[in-house]
Amino acid sequence: MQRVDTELIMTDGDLINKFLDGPDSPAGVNAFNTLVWRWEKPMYNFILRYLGKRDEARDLTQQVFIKVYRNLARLKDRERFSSWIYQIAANLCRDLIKQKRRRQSYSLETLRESGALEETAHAELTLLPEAALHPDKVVSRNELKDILEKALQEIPEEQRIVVIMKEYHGLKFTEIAEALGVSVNTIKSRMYYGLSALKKILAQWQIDEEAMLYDM
Amino acid sequence: MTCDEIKILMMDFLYNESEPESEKLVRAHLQNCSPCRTEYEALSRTSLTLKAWENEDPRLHHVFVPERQSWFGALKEKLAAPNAPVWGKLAWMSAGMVMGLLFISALLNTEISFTNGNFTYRTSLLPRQAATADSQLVAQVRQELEVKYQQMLLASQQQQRDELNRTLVNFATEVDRQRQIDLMLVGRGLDEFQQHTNSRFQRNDEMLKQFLQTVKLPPPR
Ligand SMILES: [Zn+2]
Repeated sequence: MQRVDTELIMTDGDLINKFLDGPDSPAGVNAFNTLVWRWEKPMYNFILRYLGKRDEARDLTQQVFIKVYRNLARLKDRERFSSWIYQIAANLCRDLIKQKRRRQSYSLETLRESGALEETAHAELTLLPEAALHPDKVVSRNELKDILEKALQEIPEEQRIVVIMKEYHGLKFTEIAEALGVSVNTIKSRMYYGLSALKKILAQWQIDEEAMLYDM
Repeated sequence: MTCDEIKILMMDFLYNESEPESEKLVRAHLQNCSPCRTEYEALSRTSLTLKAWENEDPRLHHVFVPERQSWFGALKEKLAAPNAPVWGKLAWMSAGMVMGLLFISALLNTEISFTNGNFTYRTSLLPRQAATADSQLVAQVRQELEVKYQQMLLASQQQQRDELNRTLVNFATEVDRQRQIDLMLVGRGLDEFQQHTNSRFQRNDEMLKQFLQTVKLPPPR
């Protein structure tokens, strides 16, 4: 019990050192699992907000930790673990998006051939959140969550990821830049455009100040 | 400072990451420029709205346990899997042959040595001093493996060398270990046999003594 208690207050860097001292020893395994326990929820929520799919988020969260397990020894600066793990998650998400896009373009081609494209394009336009169709109603916290989920998916990927890292994970602009491998100014400008786009989308969906008075 | 230039600084300001100097600039600009002020207020409201989506609990509770794979399984997987390279399969087959030879020679207490061009082969049913036989055989196995290793190295591609090296070193170490266990078992078997024989001799001796005692002529009166 004593050991578990001290592990809970150890920094990520301490846990990593303990794990790397003996990856197969009970102490090493314990240290790694403490790290997993600590990062599981943030990783899941990060991926969920980025991809918008719960089953994919569960899958990729597991994959993140498998990658961490395999590559941790190569992490030079132990105290930069946070940026590093977000980088792993971001890369996995991007790979999945690319994969899906390849599959999608293929299926679009088959749709175009069969002449069914116009119908689906039309169907997609009506995919507005329920609450947005009833602007007079005050939205509940749950409904607002659904709206935000859909709104985030509407903005460009590269802006979305920055907004998520900033708004939901409180990363500094420098940390986001490090994780995504772009300059800090690019990150700030993506943040600005992402936030502006969300502002517009929410206004379009009539999620204005009045609607924001959700019941707590 | 133009309105466009202020947008980036506004992001620092919104998330409390401004340097003192740029914070002053932003504050001054927002005070004097009403479109920028309106935009800033709208953006900070949007930021606040986003927070309404709270973290969800996935209840994943992953627990990672290191995979416990036997050296044999790991080696087999590496060398003899259906998609293993040809050199891997060859290595696996020759490893099997080396193991077989080792086992038989362990049983027969064979000594093979190849020094300065002289090849000696000796086999007997009695084990020799374990230590010398052991180190000689280990050296021999090492030598054999190294010859094989050299041949395979030449045949394999550059990128496969490191992997093969590691695998063979592990394999040689494991063969050493197995060989030592074999020798230990043979030694132990012989010890037990010796003890058994000794105690039988002792028993026979005692029986003979007893017999001799009983047939001893009574002392002359
Ligand atoms: Zn302005």
